[in-house]
Amino acid sequence: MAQSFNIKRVSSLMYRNLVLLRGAIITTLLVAGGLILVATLLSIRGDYVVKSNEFIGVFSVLFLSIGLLFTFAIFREMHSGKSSYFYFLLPVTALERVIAAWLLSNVIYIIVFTFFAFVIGQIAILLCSFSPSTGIHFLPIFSETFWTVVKFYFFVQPAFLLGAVVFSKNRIGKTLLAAIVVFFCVFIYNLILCFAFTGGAFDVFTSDPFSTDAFDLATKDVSGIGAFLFSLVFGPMMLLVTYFRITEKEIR
Amino acid sequence: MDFDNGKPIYLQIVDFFYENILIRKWQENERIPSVREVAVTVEVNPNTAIRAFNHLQEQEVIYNKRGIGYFVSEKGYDTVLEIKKKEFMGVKLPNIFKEMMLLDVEFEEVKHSYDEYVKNVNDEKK
Amino acid sequence: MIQIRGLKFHYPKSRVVLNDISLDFSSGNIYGLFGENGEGKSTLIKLMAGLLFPKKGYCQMSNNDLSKRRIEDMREVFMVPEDFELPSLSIHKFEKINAPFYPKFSQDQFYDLIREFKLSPQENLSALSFGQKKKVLIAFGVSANTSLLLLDEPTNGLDIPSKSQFRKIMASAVDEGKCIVISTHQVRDLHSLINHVVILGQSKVVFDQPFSSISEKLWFGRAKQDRQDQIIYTEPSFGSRAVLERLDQEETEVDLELLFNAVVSNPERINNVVKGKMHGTVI
Repeated sequence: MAQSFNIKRVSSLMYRNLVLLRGAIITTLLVAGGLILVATLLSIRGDYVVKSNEFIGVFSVLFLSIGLLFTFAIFREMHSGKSSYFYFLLPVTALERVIAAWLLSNVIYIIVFTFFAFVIGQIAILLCSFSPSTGIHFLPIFSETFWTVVKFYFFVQPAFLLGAVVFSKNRIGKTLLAAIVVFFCVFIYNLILCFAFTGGAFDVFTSDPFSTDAFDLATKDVSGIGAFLFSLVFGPMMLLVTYFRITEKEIR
Repeated sequence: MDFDNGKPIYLQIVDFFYENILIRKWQENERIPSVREVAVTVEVNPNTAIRAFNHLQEQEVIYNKRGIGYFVSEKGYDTVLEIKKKEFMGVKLPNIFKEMMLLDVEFEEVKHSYDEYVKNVNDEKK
Repeated sequence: MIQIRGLKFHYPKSRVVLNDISLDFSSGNIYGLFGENGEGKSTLIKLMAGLLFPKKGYCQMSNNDLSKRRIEDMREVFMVPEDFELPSLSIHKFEKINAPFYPKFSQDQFYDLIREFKLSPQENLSALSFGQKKKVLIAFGVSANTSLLLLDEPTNGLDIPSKSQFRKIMASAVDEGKCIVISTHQVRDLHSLINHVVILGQSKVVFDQPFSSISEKLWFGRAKQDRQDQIIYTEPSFGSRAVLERLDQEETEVDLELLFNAVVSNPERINNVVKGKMHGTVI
């Protein structure tokens, strides 16, 4: 019996995706590279040094937006009526499809884009080092904010993977909308909980110093555990739902 | 190959073989194309080609050497000649006779044009 | 090899396209799937490719539902759809990214076929005409050497010489281990290739017979005066051809177009003759 998971098929599928998207990938990298170069050069101006908060600004905007575009691009083939037949005909299991898409748009993307941004930023520094006032220094990319951004992408991106599979038209817009709706639902749920616990006395946080302390403590402990549990469950759950969506998908 | 609508395709393939044997394109004990080659050349389902080969084997016009292919039988030419002659006398001639009667053509007229034809062919050979 | 039983299908919020379909497809044969437009030929092909799932009944390959899309089964199925898009890649690159998924894929065969179709591996797919793209896909499907090859209207968009090349390629492609299903309404293009006829009509299978039984039981041609009463179907024009019961007559070549029209006009009568039920027992 053939396996339902085969790493060779996964890599063939990733290679296939890259070749199919190679035009878009090259264009995007050129544009992103240009933007990073210009932004880094601008940040060197004045103090002759690239500060980490200067670089991370442009990096996170590009990193997140391109990451999302890439996620949606990977599944474009399965939504176009005239090309989806080939995608679904390919002897690849749904599990392999999800893993390949996730590896490519998440893990590999994070590594490659970070490396790419680092190299471009470093090139900018080297370019400027021709002027004597700019000393050669390493680009300070791995700041705390960098890790927060990467962690955020790593855990939240699967939701967009799911959106890319579920919706067939205006996929990005619908996914964002769905995310906002979910966010509001959770927000309102929390409000209700707060209301229930405090008996409607919202000012408990502000007026009583003891409560403020308690609240700070709770935030620290509970959201730490919450965030951990959330990230542990959320990403894999999104991937699992994506898997079932692909399994059930028919073409028209 | 253009197929005539009435006759089954496998028999048309058989005719194609007969013709090649009669014009001596395929000699006795010579290897002939395989089932697959014939199917591809005449653009038919290989099953149809197999039927033609089976028919030819039953008529003992060709024989099969296992693992090598099909060959024209020792007496392939004579057999084909006999078959085609029988077909000519039994099927084609009566049809011509029927048409001769319908058009009121005398046998003498036909004999005359036949002699002329033979003479022309012989002249060309010289 | 393929077993379809009691299959029912309809698109979302739409009328039933296929109803209670039961069919068997076995290897070594080329099946012709006929039917008027909108009778569900393409839908049946897609169901057999595991791209659509039956609402009722099943479509199985060696006892596994194709809708499960198991890797063992999907490896053995390739489909050339009627209408499709191919990515903007060279033919060579297209082969390189897709061939690794098919274990029995033969590169030699693929490039031979590409040459036979007068294309070159370096040509970009986006620069090709629709007919040429179709040739690339047909070449890929044949070289993938899957045990089931499904072709939906393969000769649409092919010019006359290409149709002949197509027939040659199909004649060479079929072997003991392969089953080819061709859906078409261009009956003339393929009649010499097919050895089993399936006709769909009114969402059902109205005819399902091998060529051998058809030519054994039916006679095609111009009926003589004394056989007028044996006519099953005749074209309503002067001096036209007719389908008759063969009885002890000489075998004739199956005229698919005539057969198709005969089946569509009165499926019951022709089925009774081919299945050997006595003529006139049903009063």
